[in-house]
Amino acid sequence: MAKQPLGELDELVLLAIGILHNNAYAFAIKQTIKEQAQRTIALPTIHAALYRLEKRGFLHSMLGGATAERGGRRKRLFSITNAGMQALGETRATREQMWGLIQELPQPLGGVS
Amino acid sequence: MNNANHLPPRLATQLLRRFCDPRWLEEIEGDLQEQFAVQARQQGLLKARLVYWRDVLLLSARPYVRSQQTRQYQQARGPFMLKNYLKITLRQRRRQPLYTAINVLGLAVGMACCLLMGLYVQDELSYDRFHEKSDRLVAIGADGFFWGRSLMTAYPLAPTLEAEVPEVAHAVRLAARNELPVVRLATQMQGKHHALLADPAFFEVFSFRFKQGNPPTALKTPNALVITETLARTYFGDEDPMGQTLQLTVSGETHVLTIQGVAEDPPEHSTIQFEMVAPLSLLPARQRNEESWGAFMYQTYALLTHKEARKTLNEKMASVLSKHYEGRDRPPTFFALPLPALYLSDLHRTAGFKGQARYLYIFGSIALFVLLIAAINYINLVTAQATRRAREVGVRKTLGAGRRQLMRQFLSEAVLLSSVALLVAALLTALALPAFNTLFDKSLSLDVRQHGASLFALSAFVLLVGMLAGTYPAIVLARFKPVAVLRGAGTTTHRRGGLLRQGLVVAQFAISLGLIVGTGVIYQQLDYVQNKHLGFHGEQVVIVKLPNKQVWDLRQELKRNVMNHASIVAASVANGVPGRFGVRLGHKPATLSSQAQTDRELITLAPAVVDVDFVETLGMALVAGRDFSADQPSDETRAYLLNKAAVKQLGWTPEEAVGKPFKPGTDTAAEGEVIGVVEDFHIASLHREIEPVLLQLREDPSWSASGRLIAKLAPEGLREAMAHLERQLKHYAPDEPFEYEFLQDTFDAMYRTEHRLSQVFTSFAFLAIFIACLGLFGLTAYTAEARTKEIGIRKVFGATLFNIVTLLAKNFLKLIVIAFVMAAPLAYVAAHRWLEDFAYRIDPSARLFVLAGLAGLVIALLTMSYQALKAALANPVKSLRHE
Repeated sequence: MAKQPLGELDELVLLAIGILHNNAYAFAIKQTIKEQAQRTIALPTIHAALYRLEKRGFLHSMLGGATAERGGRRKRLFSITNAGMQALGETRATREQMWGLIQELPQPLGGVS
Repeated sequence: MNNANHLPPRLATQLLRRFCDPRWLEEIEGDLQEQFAVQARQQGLLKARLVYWRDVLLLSARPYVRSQQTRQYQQARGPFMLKNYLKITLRQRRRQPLYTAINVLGLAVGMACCLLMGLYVQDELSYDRFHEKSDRLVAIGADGFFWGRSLMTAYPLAPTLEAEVPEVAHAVRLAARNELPVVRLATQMQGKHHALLADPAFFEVFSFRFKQGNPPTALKTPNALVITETLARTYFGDEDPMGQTLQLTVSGETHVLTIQGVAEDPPEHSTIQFEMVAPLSLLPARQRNEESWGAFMYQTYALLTHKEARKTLNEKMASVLSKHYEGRDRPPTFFALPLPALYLSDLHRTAGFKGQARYLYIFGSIALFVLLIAAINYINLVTAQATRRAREVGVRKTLGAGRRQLMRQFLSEAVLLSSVALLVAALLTALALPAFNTLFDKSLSLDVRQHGASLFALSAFVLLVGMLAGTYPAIVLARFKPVAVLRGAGTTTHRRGGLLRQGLVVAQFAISLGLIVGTGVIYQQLDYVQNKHLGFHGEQVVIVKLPNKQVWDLRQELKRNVMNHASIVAASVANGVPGRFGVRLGHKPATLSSQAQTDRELITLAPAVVDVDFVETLGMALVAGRDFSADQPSDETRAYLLNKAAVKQLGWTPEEAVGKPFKPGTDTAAEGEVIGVVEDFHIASLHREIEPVLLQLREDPSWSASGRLIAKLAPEGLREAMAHLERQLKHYAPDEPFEYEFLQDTFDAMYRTEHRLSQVFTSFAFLAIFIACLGLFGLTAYTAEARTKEIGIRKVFGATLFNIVTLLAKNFLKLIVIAFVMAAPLAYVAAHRWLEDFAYRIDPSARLFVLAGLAGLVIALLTMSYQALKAALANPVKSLRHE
């Protein structure tokens, strides 16, 4: 498979899965992104990203954890695969490498990265 | 209330379940529901529902969640297949340019007809809607025993309604003057203009736009005048017209008025037209009698307080007004007509088709018929070709195409063809518009800015019809069984389609034949009315208008001078000329003559002041008695000539009538006797029965103020004669225009509507038969092709050319006969209805119908003959080689 860089949304989703650890399913991911990055993303967009990432081998999923609030329907719980970790790492490395090359700025500005 | 108990919108959930891949459905549904519950708690139910719906819809657009089945289906519909459809369509079309051309052309012509008529109908319906308060404006009409329904009402009506009917906010009176003399004193420039004399609220009630001045107050100052832009330019050029003065002559009195406003020219789509508006108070006091409930000389318009008030207005008016008509035998009734409905009502009388609701219906339905014929063509040709495409359908089905997918393919073909046809139709419409405008006396345009919405609606409509026409073939084609068609037995459904196709051909030709019959009837009737002897000889007779009373008073001198020229054969002066009898007076028979023998309550006579040469100049025939004579001085005051119709109404025979005492009018000066009876003659168009006419030499100032000179010209020297007449008229009235018309033209002009109708019918009939023939041509071509082998075999076995042609044409000819049988009675009824307009009319002859039917047959035969002959002449070796 041709190596494709991660999109920003993909990155956010992967990071949110990392934060949620064992309870990463679409709605929770949406909420996490909203809390952490102040970004409201429509649920279907999250779903799209999740299935896309799973297809690329960055995510692994299993069903489980039905609740009453969900009308007794199970969640699809996602976890990051090694390939996913690697892709995330590469993205981060690229960014840091580039940040490092900026010499004029004494401090990183922070914010989204 | 616990929002957690609320369930997400069920419809959305069902939708989701329909398209979502079952592998993902559970979790997605769960996620959505959880989100819904959280949002319902935090942001309210409405917001949660909206988000739920939005998400479901968003999901439906995501390819990854769609089920396998849906996905394939979707892919096959996607751009890739569309491209394939397009390619196949184009190939098909290129392979069969003839069918394509027939199809597109037929549809385009039908669509163009519809577009044109749609524009026309829309234009006709748009009258008087520009007034801001148009939905609350009504015209008040009166229905009187004597004069029938009209817009003319009494002077006190408007103020009475305004005062006594609470729903009437304003009521304004109008008196129209067609040729009001106007002088600009400063420059002595003068002219005659169409003026309205109106109550001061006129510009408050109606929304005519102003260039200068303030509409609500413009007419409220004494001696105010509002003129149109055009008139302002005529009289004042570049000067500022505001505050300038013009002198008007109203009923013999002059008034100097100050211009308080310049209005834009009234829109074309206004039934109220004017060049200037002046206060009604300019009329002499005798014409403005607040008690004069019997003189109906004013138009009354009312502005209601609300739209619904109209429904009860008639009764309210009746109760308010009844006291003013107490004691009358037949009191008039008053009614309110919404202003936008006025234009198309019987109260608005115009020449041509304008403002005649029934022509709207006639043309509208004909246009729809033509479009129908075109749509039928499409259906016929496409289904006829079905077998040819059966193989394609078979292959597509074998490769997994579903019925719906195939339908989609054929529908997209229909859309494509209809769109092309629509483009061609737009082009045709643009080309035909100038001719159309001349024919209908309209100024329609394809201006998108002006008619954007209606053009769009019309285009959408015709496109829809095109697509609907594609639906049936799509269903038929998509239904083919792959095994059957691939084995080559695809013609099983063909038979049933054949029946439908035959029905459609019958419908097409029934419509076409109906239109041909209609055209024939109109032509025959026109021929009849124009060649019927009218009771006088109007050839070479010119009618010259005497411009004013001064000339009228000098008429005998004028006549003598006119006669002094070799090219004038005879001349007379009269105030009633055939076609121009202005007055009708009702009389009680007993007062007309003590010897009247009739039960009639009323005899309405059309009177005319003539001179001794009248009967001779017009070549009328005397049935009894004698003509007026210059040798009998008493004729000047005591002699009357009647026509046969008048004598008959009085209960006499022509012979009996001569010498009977006669007194038309209450004045003792009117006493006299009938000296002769003339043959009936038409004084109006043949729409009307012959009217009773009274001719007299005695002038009656109550209705005769001016008249016309009748001159019979010698066959040669027309130009000299006209020059002579003009010279004479100019001698007596140097400043007045020389107005004349030929008597023949006066009568021809009465049938202008019918003339145009005949042209319209001819064009439509032509188009209808043209499209129907296109279709027939295509069908024959197709049949001939489908039966090539059969024809080959027949020829081998010795069939003659004639046999083959009959074989092919027989079926279609049968259909045309059926169509004729269906169309003839309908056409007869319709023609009869139309002819009822005429008091004198033809009876649609059987010959006409036979001719129309034969014409249809011959045209159809000619259409088919090319294809049939081609098939019949083909060498059988060619068609049978493969067997």
